[in-house]
This record gives sequence, structure tokens and C-alpha cells, in this order.
Amino acid sequence: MRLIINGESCDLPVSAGLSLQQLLQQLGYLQIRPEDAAVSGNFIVAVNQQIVSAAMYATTDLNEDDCIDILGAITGG
Amino acid sequence: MKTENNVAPDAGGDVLQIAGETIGSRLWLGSSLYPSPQVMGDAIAAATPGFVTVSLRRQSAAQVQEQVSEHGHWHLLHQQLASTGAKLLPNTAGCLSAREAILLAQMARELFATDWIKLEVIGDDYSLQPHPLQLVEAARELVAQGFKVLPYCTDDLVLCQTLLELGCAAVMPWGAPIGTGKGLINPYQLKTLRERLPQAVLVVDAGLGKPSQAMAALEMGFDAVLLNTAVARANDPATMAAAFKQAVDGGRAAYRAGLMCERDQASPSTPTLGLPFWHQSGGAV
Repeated sequence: MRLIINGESCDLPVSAGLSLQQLLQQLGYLQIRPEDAAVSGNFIVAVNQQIVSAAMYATTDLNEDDCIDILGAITGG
Repeated sequence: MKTENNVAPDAGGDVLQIAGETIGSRLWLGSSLYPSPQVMGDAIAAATPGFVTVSLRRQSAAQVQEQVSEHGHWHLLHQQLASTGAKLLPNTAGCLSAREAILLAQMARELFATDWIKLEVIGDDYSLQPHPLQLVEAARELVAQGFKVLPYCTDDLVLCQTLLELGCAAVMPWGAPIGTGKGLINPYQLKTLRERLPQAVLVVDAGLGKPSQAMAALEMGFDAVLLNTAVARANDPATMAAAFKQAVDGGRAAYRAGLMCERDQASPSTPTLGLPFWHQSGGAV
């Protein structure tokens, strides 16, 4: 499956049925244990420019060419 | 008492309130460009700012972990927010359209758990001048979504009026382009804003390079100043932050005390009545 993750095209060795939670676990944003997922809070995710709350990670299925943006806090002026 | 002032002193208390919330200081500070997270923390501690600005960007998992690590910016920032009482003010820096700014503001609200947003929509890459039309469009939508919108804007009177009419909690005209340190390059226009928008919360945002320039903004009647580079790029950011704090406090006190009107003709401050003998004898003073 091809996804656009933080602006870069990524080919993942999976077909359909990948959830956002699984992707975030694979990328290291979330721990594998499900109980850690809902309390992370250090980043925010948008799929195709729609914000996905942490509670919806597990039920958000990803599709070919979806754009996933994962943003974290930085310093700013 | 009516004094020879060009501004009316505030007869009441001097609490800065915006959108129903009390803001603890009239000095607002950016969190960027410091040589290290610790120096940033020291500067915030010295400034005790009302707001600290932050932002958000695409990050890898490793970058997220670095930010929240024990020695990362985010960890130290939280410590300083807790000890100083400063509020977080996320920005939409880098956005070039209303659509981008609205989405980034929405993500900032989720990430930082605050309705405050410093709305930036840049219209010119060279000067980093705000785009007035996109700014108005974004402000209208974000106000409708319940944000407390603090737009970074130019010093155009009609633009500021429009943003306030839309429901922005304050307006933040630039003193000079971001990062230039040129100070208040158009004091006439800034004074006009203060005179024409007497009830509005006005904040000079960007371009301040020296404490004296911040003081001038407060003396002019601006309610607060927001700056970053002048502190972060100083040889000693914590000491510079303290200097800006003193300047802001001094400028505000002077505004409230009532500045004298400037005049062209000299006027002796020592009474002339009762001079003993020089005029009678025709001698020089």
C-alpha cells in the first residue's frame, strides 16, 4: 500500500486493512501495547487533512494514497 | 486630576484581560531560536511572560520523543509554564493561506489543549508581511469555531478594525518585519491605532530589538508586546529577558502615569518668581 506520510511517499508491505493505530505503532509513534496508545498526546494526526483523535486511531482504516500528517510540538515565535 | 497628558490614565486596576481571561504579564515571549532548551527555560523564568508562543510541525517518532525528553524544549517549557503561570500561545507560522492556517490552528488546539491561537498567514516571503485578505478569511472561520484569535497583522487601521469586528480577542500589528529588530518603524500609524481603537487590546508583535523599543510601545498605550529574537539571540538571553521585563513594566507605568505633551518652546522648570537681583542689574544669568 502506498501512503504519503509527512509529505513523503512510502510503500508499505501490506495490502488493505491497515489501521492508523497499526501504522503509528509501526512508525514508532505509539507503543505496541494498546493501553499506551490513548494517552500519548505528544503528537496530532491528520488523515487527508482531517484530524483524527487518539480514540479513533484503531478504527480508522487507511486506504491507498492516503495522506497522513503527524505533527508534534516545536518552539515558535 | 486633569493633567497635561496626551493620553488618559486608566483610573481602574491594571489587569490585562483578554477574552475573559487574565493575562499575567504584558511581556509575551517566543520559545524559538535559543541556543539550548535550558537557556530558553532560563529566559522564560526571567521574563515571567503572559504568553509563550509555540508551534507544531511534521515530526518523526524520534523527533517527538526528543521534544518531550527530560532535557527537551517541551519538558522544560512545561516546567516554566507551571512556575510562571504563563499561558501557551500556539501559532500558525509559515502558513500561506487561510485554509492552511485553519487546519494548523485546529491541530494546535488538539495538541496543546488551548483555544488561544496566534494567527499568522504570510503574504510575502521576503518581508514576512501578513496577507490581509487570507488573514481575515481565516480569522472569521476560527472565531466561528470558538478560537480566541490573536492575529499577527500589519498596522493598517481598517484591517485591524475588521479583525476586531470579526471577534478577534486582540490585534497584533507588527512593529517591524519579523526578526529585523528595527523597532517601531511607523510610530504615527501605531499611535493612530491606539487613538482610533481605544477599547481594543493592541499588542505590538514582531520587529522589536531593544528594551527601549518595547518601552516605547507600552508608553504609546499598547497593551503588551510579543518578541522572540531580541531575547533569544542576545549573548545572555536571561538577562535580556529581564531587561525587557523592566522596560515593559516601566513603559506601562509611564503610560498610566500620563506622559507630558511634547512642545517646541522651552519652558523653565524652576519658578522665575522671586528671582533676587540679576534681571534688575542687567547681568547675564
